[in-house]
Amino acid sequence: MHKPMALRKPFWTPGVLVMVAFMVAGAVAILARFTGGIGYVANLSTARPWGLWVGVDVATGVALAAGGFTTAAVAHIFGRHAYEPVTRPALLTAVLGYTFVVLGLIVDIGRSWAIWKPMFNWNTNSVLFEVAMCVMCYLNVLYLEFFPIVAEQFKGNVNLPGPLALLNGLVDDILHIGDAIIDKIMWALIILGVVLSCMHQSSLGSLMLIAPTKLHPLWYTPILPPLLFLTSAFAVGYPMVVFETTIATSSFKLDSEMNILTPLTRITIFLLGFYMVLKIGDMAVRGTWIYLLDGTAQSNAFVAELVLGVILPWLMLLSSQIRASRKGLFIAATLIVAGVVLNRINVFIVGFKPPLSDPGYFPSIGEMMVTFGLIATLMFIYKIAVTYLPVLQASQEVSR
Amino acid sequence: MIKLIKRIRVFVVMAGVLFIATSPGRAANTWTAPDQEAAKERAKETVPFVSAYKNEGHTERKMRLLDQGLSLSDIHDVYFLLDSPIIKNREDHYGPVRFAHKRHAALIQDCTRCHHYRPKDEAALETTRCSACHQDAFNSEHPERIGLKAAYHQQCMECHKAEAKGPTTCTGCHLKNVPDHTQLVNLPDNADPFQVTAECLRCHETQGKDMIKTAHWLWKGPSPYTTGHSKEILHGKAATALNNYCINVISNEPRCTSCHAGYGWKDASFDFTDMSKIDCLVCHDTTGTYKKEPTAAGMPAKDVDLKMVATKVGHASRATCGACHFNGGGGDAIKHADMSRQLLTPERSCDVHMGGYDFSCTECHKTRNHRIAGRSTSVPVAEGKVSCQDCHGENPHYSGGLLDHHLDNHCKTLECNVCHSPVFAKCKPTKTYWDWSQAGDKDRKPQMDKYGKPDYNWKKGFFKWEESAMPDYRWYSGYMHRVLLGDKVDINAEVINLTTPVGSIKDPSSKITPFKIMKGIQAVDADHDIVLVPHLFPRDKKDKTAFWKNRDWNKAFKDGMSVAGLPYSGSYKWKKTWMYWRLEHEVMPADMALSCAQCHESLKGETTCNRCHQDNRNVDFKKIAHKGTDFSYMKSRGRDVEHLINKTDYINFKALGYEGDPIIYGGRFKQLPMGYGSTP
Amino acid sequence: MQLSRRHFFKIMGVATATATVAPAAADTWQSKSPPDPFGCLVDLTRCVGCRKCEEACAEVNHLPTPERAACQCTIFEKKRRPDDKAYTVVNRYFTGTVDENDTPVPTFAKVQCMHCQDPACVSACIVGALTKDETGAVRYNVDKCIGCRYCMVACPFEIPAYEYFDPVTPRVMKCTFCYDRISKDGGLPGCATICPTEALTFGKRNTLLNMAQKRLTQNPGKYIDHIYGEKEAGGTSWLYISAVPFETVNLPVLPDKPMPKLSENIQHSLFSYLWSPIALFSLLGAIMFGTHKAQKPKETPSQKGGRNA
Ligand code: SF4
Ligand code: SF4
Ligand code: SF4
Repeated sequence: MHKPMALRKPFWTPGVLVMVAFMVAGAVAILARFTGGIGYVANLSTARPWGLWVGVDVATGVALAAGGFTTAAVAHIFGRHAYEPVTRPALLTAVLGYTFVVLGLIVDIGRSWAIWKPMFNWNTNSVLFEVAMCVMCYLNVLYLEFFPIVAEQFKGNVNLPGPLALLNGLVDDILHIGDAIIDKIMWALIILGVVLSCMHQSSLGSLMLIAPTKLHPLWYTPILPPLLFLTSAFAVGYPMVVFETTIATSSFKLDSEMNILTPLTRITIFLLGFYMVLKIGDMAVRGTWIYLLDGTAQSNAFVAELVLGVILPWLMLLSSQIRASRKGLFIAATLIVAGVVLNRINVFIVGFKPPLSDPGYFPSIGEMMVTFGLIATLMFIYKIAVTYLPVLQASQEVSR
Repeated sequence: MIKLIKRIRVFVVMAGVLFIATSPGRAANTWTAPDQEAAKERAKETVPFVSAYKNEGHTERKMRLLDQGLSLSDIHDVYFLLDSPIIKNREDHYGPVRFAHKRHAALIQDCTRCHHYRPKDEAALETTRCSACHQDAFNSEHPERIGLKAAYHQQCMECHKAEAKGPTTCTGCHLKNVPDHTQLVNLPDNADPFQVTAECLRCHETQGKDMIKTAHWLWKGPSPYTTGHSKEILHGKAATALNNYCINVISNEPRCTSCHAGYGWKDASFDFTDMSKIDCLVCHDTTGTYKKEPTAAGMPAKDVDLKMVATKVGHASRATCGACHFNGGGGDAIKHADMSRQLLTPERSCDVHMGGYDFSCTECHKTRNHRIAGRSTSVPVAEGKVSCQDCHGENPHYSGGLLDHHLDNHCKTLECNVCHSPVFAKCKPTKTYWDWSQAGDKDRKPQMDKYGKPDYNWKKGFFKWEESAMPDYRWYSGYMHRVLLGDKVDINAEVINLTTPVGSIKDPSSKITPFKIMKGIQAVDADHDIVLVPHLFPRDKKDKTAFWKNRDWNKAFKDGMSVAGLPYSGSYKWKKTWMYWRLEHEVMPADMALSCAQCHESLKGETTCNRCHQDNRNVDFKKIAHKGTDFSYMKSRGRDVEHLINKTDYINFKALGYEGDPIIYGGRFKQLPMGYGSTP
Repeated sequence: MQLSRRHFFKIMGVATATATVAPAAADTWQSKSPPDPFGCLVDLTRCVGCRKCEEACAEVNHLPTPERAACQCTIFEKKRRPDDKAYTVVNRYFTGTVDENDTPVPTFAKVQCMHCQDPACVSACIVGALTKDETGAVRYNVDKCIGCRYCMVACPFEIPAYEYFDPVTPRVMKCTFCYDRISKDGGLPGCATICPTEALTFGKRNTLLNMAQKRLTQNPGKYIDHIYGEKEAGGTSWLYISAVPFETVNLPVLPDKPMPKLSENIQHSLFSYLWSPIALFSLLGAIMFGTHKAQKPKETPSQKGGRNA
């Protein structure tokens, strides 16, 4: 086992340039949104108040950041310390993911400057209120959890540029004290993170409970949505870690860490299986399978989500060969991630069909520019973080 | 006791009283229309709320009312204005509705259709006013009792829809109130006419687009009622219409187009697609201060405060329509015998619609997209027709008296105003003769005729005038035959008819119709047999051809015809021309219409209606047959009608194709004459 | 990792106590509808499609004057919805009825916020910017609103609209039930005052329900025997009666259950007094405590574990 450390690698690769291009496009679209209004860049309407930004930037973002709390849970709460090497990258993904959820929200809500208002105006009946509070708290928890990583890198060698150098000593002290305090309460932060995650991951699914006439029956289930969202978040946590670790390790030419990933996905068989049973069971109990072969966009999307995103990868993971193969594991993980992404998109976009006045919805170029711009920025910062902070296990010297 | 009969109101004021009560020298601003005034006062009344009503079945109620023997003749409230402070309280976007109460009663023949309940109180009236039960809406004590406004709308519209009769749109009944434009109009203090139009168009662009398609703008358009040209859209004053007054517009535009609702139509180069030249104010002025310069091609007079006029715009009125239409032919009442400035403040007996009920022109001449309905006999263009029947129906006599049935029968053969406007130019003399051939003698002194009207003008020639004249009657189907500019005429005929009513005694749709015949002498090209257009009004100081400057007919015709694009041989002939001008306005109150005996000589003697009817009820048939227009009274009021007193052949039946008085010789389709059976 | 046994049991104690109380409290969902609200009865058989209500609404609410087509017929060619510039619109529907001349008979229907008795929008609003007033009006407080548009997602009638083209201070726009007017004595909503046929009747909801019922019973055959809004979505302040099925005039078929009931029930049974998070926290704490204890002999507590978290 190697100690995580900053990768001192060349930063400007062609991939990074592509990211920057997307970031610039996103910035332009965001500028347009804040000058011309949401209607100027987005295809939203009275019937379709939520589109790509809520469906992808927020709902999907939250789901995919689930790696953070699931790995923390397995490594720290359930004491499987073998998995610790993946907790840091997963934590980073979560920190960044949630930060961008909030950024996406700032773009999406009409009165961005009023985003703080839910803290003082509570509507405890509102599912969204609960989600918002959890996300807010969880984001703070994540930052605190991440603090030690920053501290580890800079403690003792704070070197601010120019006149700010005067503050070097002060910052160093803060790092020391903060690190010490957080260390004392880390156990509570970790548990709190898991609790908060469970709460809002499930509540995201409850958001549509109030709109039974609008959500397609394949997804609208009167009792299960919190559970379905929660279990799918559990299920996607490790595959997401597999997915990003594989990409990171291969693009940074690091150890593939299969020794950790393979056993991790063994847990996923159980988690994904549970989700699958719930989903199919719900369909059977409510008799909604009659819609399966409708041939509509909704039914096709549901079939794709269920077959390609749940059943197929689950079957794949049953095979120990696939689990042991880097490529097979990666494909299965990708399918699971894609399945959950599709599920969130389906619930918030494809399956959402207001019966009276739906003008139809397809995201506009502007909306996509914002979404891709935010994703690119996230990846960009991830890359900065892993380059300068001790996140990944830098073991290449050994393996070479 | 029949409650209804008790309710006699001093509402329909007797016309005779009015004759005496009004004096000719009234100031215009004190003028009021008596029937309308009375209705307005009535509409202001509020009555105590009736909370309890007698709940009986509709049919039961109907029978009960019938058993009481109520009939049309018990209805004294002929006319209402459907208005009330209750309604105005909430909104005032639309004007009140004129409601012909008795006419509706006559049509429906069932009081209970509207008067659906009666108050519980036995002493109350059987047919109370709507506002006794329907007052303010949403009364929390009587939630189901709808308010007055809704009661009117539901009652009227539901029935109009069910019967597929009567208007159901807002403006079908109401006139929309024009909002105060003071804050809306944004103009500099000395705005020029074009700035005003641009300002109007800022909000009313659609109306501008509509306007430039209308006959009032183009001075030509569809001519559906001109035989041989009914599918065309090119005739009108601006093109082919001829008359025997000022003859034709062509080459004389600056003078004639002072009546055009536009600015600067000087000659053929005027751009009729340019909305910025529309003169909105000439029709929408409410101040009475807007005037056009008589000879400036439609430009307003210099001293008009255009900004002030523009901030006070409103609906067209008798004053704005009349500014042109009363002055046709160059002065008040000259052309249209039945229209004069008298109609601005008419007595009830002069015109019952305008004088009694204060109608504005557009209440009959319904206007849509700025197209104003009405078919004139003098010009070919028409954008919809107007007839008495539009409001009064095919069976308009519903007094409940003995004659109704006979009179309604007459409506199949006579136009209403045969009886209801027995004389034309009742209030002002009109020109009936115009001899152009005598024009040009600057030394000739005009003589004044008995009406004080000049018989000569060197520019125009010799005239004759008539006042309170008897019309000529012709069969008329609604179609006219016309001589249009460039049409060949029979140069050898004694008289050339520029317009002739088309109709026949054999045609069920033709009716006997009153006309004023305008007789004239004007020039026809001796070789080409076409009516000549003279260039009269000088274009400028250097004009060498205008007759009113150079007094040379040859030059005037040459110039005029060349501008018209027609040949001129150089020799002309003065010919007699006639035109038939349909008489429509100056409708007298019903009790002043012609009596039976004024046309039917056979009713003059002792035997009248009893020729056919038995008189078992002591009906004074003679009185019935003789009650009508009182010419001796009119004479005493200064009208020139002496020759009409005691006249019994108002209509010359033989000239119209009858063998004689139809009472004796039979009607045009019912051939069986009335017998001389034994008199009871 | 410092978690004392004493500490742990304390947490567990609280959690268990909450857990037993919480579900019981949340299970009995209570309607929060006002006892005697105002309402407005729309009688579609009376509406003549004059659109005066649109005009009046715009006037009293200072919205742009509605589009006036040269003739009403062209405006009705497209189906319109209330939007950020109009709180109410009237649409024309041909539902297949013909008169004796075989001319299709139109039905006109005004739409606006229904002012639900237990409004989905109010339950959904993250900050409580929407409230159901005693008068029956569902009111919007722009000062609280953050613009999340969850109310729009929630509303079963698809009513709230949004000022999408305002970049910084957009508002949710919907019929106010003319709160400023009706909250005054004798005040009436703008649209109802002007309706020439009283297709709109304003009054106490209970009175209107009785009245509507009376109209239905007194005119059998004229009306569909149903008061739309009496029960729909748990009841609405605005009520409709009609001669044609309500679906044909774009009034949605909705369950009688108030929209917020299910989600509020689930939310409250899960989260009231935060029992479930506390319970979960305790449970996970116990597990963590357990695993750490088990591993203690092998691994001395060190700074490292914390840092790696
Ligand atoms: S004002 Fe009344 S009649 Fe007119 S459209 Fe509105 S609801 Fe219908
Ligand atoms: S109709 Fe919609 S916006 Fe109106 S109260 Fe009901 S849920 Fe809220
Ligand atoms: S109640 Fe007021 S806000 Fe609502 S539609 Fe009527 S006028 Fe408009």
